[in-house]
Amino acid sequence: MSEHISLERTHDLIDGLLSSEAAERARSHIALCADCRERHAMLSELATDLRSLPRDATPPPDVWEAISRRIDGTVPSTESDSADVLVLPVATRHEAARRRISFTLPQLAAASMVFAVVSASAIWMAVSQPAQTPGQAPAAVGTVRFVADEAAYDTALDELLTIVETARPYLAPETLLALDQSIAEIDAAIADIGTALESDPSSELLHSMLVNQQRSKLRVLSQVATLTEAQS
Amino acid sequence: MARPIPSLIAPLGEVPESPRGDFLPTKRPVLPSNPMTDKQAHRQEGAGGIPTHATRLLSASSAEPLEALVDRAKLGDTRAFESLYGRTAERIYALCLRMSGNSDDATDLVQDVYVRAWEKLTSFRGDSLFTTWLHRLAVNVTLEKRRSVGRRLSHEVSDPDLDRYARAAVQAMPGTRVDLERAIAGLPEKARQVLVLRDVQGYKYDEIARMTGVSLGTVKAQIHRARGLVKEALER
Repeated sequence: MSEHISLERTHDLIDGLLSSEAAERARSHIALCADCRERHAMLSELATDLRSLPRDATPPPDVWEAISRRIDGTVPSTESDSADVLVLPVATRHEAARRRISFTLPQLAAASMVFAVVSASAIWMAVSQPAQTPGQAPAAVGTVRFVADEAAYDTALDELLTIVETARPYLAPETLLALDQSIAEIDAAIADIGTALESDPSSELLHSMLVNQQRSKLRVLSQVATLTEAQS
Repeated sequence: MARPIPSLIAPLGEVPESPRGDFLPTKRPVLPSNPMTDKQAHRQEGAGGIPTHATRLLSASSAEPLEALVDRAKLGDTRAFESLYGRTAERIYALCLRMSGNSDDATDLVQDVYVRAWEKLTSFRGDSLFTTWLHRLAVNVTLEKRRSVGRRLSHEVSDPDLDRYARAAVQAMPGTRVDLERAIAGLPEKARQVLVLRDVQGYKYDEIARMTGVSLGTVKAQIHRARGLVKEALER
């Protein structure tokens, strides 16, 4: 009978790290050696037991609320900027760079209008960030006072909607569906929060949620407006 | 507008491996909805906030493709992100629970994972499945957190009250083997982490070496030792 198989080699056999020839030699030995067979069987059984443990566990019910408090009033950041950079698809940016740029005067005028409106909405989104006063608790603990200029929001919204509505005939059905679903869900949330605010008009949490949804709406529309401008 | 917009007329989802940074739809495979999502939604209904809306949204979004939710979340839509949480949190919590060996730490880790995911969401380009990206992120967050805790409290074991941990594990994972969970939780920190990554999560040795920043040989030695310790614990 060949030499006993070391513990390390037994682990390697179970992990599939041995060459096919080495594995075959090891298995041949195990078939004949009770000690090695017992150790191999024990480790194999353990590996099987560990692999069969449940992969899902129910988290405590209040975890999402804690996460929500920590991300409320923020947006996913880009690598270059943590605030209000509009993210274009990489492919679009590259395509735009490759294309020969040739605009007619009306196109240039339309592009500058889009740029102005998107910039205005970005400014609104920026100023609607949580504002803290000295001594005030940070955003994560939910005592934030949000600053929002409703008139500026309405203006930015109207202008973005005009641009997007103009572009609508040229958008793919899938794009329109995604756009409409996003806006519908955001509008539903805004309506729900508005209803809740009627009962509790001083709730800072509700105000912050409202601003967050308004920012989401402007962001979605800005995305489409910017893409429209980039492709025109 | 003088002419149609080509790239918007051709859905981006038809372009293989097209990096995407916006909310445009894709035609990626639709992952099956997690039946636990609705249960989580019901649990959240009694948890405060604006329950009816959150519940309705979670239920409604369970049929929405994960990638579509990701695209909306990238735009700052926290409700889409909440749905993503509802669809993925169980897998992430199980990972954090076993990696930390402590139910309180696991809860904190899950929060950290999703806050980090929210912050980094725009860096997810769709090159892999979102669930794969999130899982890897969770491993990184867990290892980082435990490293920093380990530096401050190197004398501490993960959780002195293994019985308490075992109860939490069984509550979170009904049907799991209490003795095995207890044995894993009782391992030294590094041994537990590599054992969970290799034998429970199925990562390869070289992947674990990269994630933990130690050599392949060290990882193998740690895993072999961990298996031995688990076996000893089970025989006690």
